[in-house]
Amino acid sequence: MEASILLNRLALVFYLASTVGFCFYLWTLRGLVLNSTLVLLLVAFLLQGAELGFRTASTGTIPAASSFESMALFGWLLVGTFLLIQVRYSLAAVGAVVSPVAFSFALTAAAVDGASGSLPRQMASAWLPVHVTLALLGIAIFFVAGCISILYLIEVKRLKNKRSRGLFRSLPPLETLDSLNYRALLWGFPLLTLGMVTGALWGRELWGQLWSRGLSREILALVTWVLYALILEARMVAGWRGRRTARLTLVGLIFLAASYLLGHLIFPGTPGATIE
Amino acid sequence: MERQIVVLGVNHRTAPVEVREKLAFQKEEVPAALLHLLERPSVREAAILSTCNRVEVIACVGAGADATDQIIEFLAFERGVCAEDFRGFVYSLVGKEAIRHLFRVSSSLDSMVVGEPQILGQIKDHYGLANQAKATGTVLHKLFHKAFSVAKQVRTETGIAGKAVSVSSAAVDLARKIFEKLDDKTAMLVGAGEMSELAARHLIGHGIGSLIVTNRTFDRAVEMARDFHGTAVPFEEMQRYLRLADVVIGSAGGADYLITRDQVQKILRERKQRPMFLIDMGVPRNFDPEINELDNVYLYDIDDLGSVVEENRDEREREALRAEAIIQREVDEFWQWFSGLEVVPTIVALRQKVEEIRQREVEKVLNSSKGNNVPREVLDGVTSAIVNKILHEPITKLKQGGDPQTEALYLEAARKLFGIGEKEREDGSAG
Repeated sequence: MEASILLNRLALVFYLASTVGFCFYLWTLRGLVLNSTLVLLLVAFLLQGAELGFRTASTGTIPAASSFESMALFGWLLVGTFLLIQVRYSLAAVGAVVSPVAFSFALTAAAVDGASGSLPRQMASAWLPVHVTLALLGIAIFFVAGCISILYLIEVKRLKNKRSRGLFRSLPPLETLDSLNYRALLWGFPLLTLGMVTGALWGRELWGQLWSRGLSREILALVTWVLYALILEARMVAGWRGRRTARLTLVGLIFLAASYLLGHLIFPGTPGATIE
Repeated sequence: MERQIVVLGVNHRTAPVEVREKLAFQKEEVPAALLHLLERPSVREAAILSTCNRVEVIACVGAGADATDQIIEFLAFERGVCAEDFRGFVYSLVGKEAIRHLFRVSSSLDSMVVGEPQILGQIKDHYGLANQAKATGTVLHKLFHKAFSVAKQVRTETGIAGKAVSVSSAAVDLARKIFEKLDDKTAMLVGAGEMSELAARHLIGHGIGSLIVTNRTFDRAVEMARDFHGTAVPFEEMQRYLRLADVVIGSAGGADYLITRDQVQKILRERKQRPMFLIDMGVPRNFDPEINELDNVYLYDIDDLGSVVEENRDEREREALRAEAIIQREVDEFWQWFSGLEVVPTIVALRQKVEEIRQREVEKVLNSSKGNNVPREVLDGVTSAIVNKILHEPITKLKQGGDPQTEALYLEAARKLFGIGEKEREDGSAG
């Protein structure tokens, strides 16, 4: 366990540094600042990845026993998603959101580390890691889509108000942000769907029924799923785009966050709870 | 001072486009307007400069009269606007300040984008119009030619135009903030203004996919389409082709909006809300400003573009300081010439010059061996008589003056012919 703690502390330092780096970059717009910040974030990502690997190896299952652990895992997946997109598009503003999120989640998980035990034996199942990973990855992608939507709305506002200075003066073109948002939905939706299905299967295995843990939460998750399905449908069939879809993506993210938090904060006793 | 140079007008800094568009002159209107202006009692020479960013009257006026009020009245009358509606936006410069202003404008120091090259061509055009209308005389001829040479000097000696940042490149920058790439986009040019042509060139330079050109005169549209390897469409069918356009540049003249909010709303539905970028280079404006309230449409008028390009200003401003120094030197030089254009000082200088020559030659004779037996009084008498006889006619003509334009012409001629105000040649051989 010693190694994983060390890795965790190091990752925290690098996450913090990259958070500062992104803010500094947005202020100065120097290419060198951005590149070094991305390296810092990549190192943080690898360190945390190694930490998670150690934990998985020592417990035999994915480190998502407590809400906090799953949040840290979420932060890690989020950073991974961001880094993948950043390879092709310059989205430093998203990085400035993603790195503090990863930092605070990893910090929280580390702070309550001692409190969380391992999962009760009867809850361990082959479905759990699959379910958790898919669902969290889906949420991470939707989270990035939400950030991109916010940037889109900011850029629209700046263009409409004819502003050319300020913190957001070098955002990618609107068209790029819009299509990135679309692609994020295209990737996120199937992952979320699979996450929900595997969650349901896991629940059946555990309690013998598909609808198991708090009806309100399941309904909320279903509403979120339907909402995303509608957004995708509006984009693909009705050709919606721009401000309207950006706003809807944000509404979807709020629902998603609500159903996630409902599982973790209102029923904190439910171990290993994640969205499904 | 018997005459004065004044510049009166509005520009992008003192007046919003709503005011400028009311005062703007179409090129065809300028000659007639100049004739009206010259009918005003104190106006002797005049030129009108009307561009998207400024409307200015440059005039040589008689002394004493309040030319400012007369020119404001003229603008109000000519444009059918109440003088009080724009008086507050007007700047009125006299003498050296007026000269400096014109030099700064021609050198593009007063432009929205400092260093942009368009303005010099526009001034040349408007000077040509004033010439055609015979509204310019000695003073304005000299003033404008000086303005052109100052502009050239500033251009070659300072880095003010080093980076080609202009309103048109600002438009391209904005297009790239909206569109991911331009090579699959279509631009449409409505009307054939100088600015819009430049913007089109910039877009082509940045690889815009295709170009549609329309103009009230179809032949002109065809001509431009050939220039730009685009497609010309009849003006009446603009509506139909608008839906194809991702970027629309307007610079057609006309009092009414060419494209309204409702039209764009309809087009957007047909385009499935694919974004549009409308650039309004027209003054008066071509596109209804309310279009900007629609989703997925971005409308920029000429003023908006100006504020966008502020970013690159700093560097240019440093160079501008050097340009100001050049201009200061040229203003002083011109001022020296201009203040010489006065009857009394010219006559005094003329007499003085000739008298000096006469005395010098008399001394020469007296000092030489030939002149020993000639009394000084006789020599003085004879030479003075000759000098006075020769000077009599020119001085009378200068005093009579005649109409203001001829007067300035005579003064200028006298000073040139007798070398007044030039550096004295000290060798004395001229005698």
